[in-house]
Amino acid sequence: MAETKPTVTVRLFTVLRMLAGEREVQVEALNVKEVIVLLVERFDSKFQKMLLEKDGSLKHYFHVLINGRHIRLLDGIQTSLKEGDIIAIFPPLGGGY
Amino acid sequence: MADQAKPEEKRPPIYHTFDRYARQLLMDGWDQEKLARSSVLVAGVGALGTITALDLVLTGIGKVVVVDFDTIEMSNLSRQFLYTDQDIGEPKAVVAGQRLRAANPDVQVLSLNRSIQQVPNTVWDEIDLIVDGLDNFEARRWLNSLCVQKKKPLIHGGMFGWWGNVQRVIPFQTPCLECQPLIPQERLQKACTPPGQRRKTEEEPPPKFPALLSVATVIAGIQFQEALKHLLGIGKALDNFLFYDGLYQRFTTLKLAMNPNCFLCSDRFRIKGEIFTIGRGESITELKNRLIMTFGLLDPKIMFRGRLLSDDKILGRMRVKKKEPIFVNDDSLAQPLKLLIVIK
Repeated sequence: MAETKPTVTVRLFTVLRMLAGEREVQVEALNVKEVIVLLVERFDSKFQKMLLEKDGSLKHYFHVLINGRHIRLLDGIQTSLKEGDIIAIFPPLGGGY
Repeated sequence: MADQAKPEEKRPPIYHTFDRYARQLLMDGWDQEKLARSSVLVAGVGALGTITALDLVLTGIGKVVVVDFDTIEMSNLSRQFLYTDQDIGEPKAVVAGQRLRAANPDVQVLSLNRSIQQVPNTVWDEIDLIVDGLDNFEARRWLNSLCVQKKKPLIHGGMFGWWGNVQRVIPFQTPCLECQPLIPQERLQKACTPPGQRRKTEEEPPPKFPALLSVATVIAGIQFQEALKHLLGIGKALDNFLFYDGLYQRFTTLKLAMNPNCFLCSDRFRIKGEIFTIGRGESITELKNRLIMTFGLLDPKIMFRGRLLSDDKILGRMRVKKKEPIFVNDDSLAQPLKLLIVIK
């Protein structure tokens, strides 16, 4: 029997939202890595170029939070997901300039 | 031009006339006297800071302290409307102070032409709330650390191009800026370079980011509004991380979680002290690198039994008692981090 994957909501912010043309999407994924793959498949090459390095890894400065918790404090992109999780992805914002 | 190093004597507001505040006095829940008894520090008088400082002063906050060590440049003038062409090269804090005093003589304005880390304790002690308009991450982390230490509310704001964000930090009630590692990772990577190389990197001019007055006005306006509600004790405070997208005109909030392991505001560190395991042969250099990676510190210095430890020392060979404390100092911390060490 095929494994049932949890449905999670991905909220995109700033430049990612601009490139995706959508504020949030729902995807079925077991972990953050799968979410990233699904997003890149869904949106165009500009989105991929913005989010990923040439080697396919997530650009280090992007923040990924699951229910308000940074994946750096969890298991990184291998962090497992559960039904209903809210994932936020955004680049760092600056200062008072 | 000199700054006002010594805080002026506390004096009651002048109130030339209440007519100045006639319209806001009509607001439900308004208490002008309460505002007149309040003190707010604005950290950084760039785009965000000049706007919030002017808002605070015009509204009749009793005392406004503006802190900045920078001087005015031509490229500031498209956003920082307290300054003019004639001010180029002058200290921001001093010029901002002059303009703010002229804007409302009721308000006591203190200008400090210095870095935020050099603000004296006597000033911090009388501040009720801090507004963050800083433009560098080290200073921001230090300020957050200080706010946690002194239990002072902090209204943080940031912007980049069309986008901005606001976060309200009430120490031990809402997540502090370290609870979730949102400080750009480049800084961590930069911090991992050896000290010599780091110094060389710091001499490079800071990167230039896109910035727009309209976004600054929105973000600073929200910062001011959150400050105002806090001082008046009315309304519903911002309890999430707020994003603003000026290009598509959207506000979005994101719930941030407090971190039970936060090295600044969690009970685990603050009250009990954190146990930190050190290898028997681990040198201070190796330990420093681990501290940089674990806590995102910049250039930690380690104090043990009242002395700074040099990089060649090895704690495992110093007859350390179990859970004996070391104190870690860093430019991003307003107070040393206490760790209880166990040698293994």
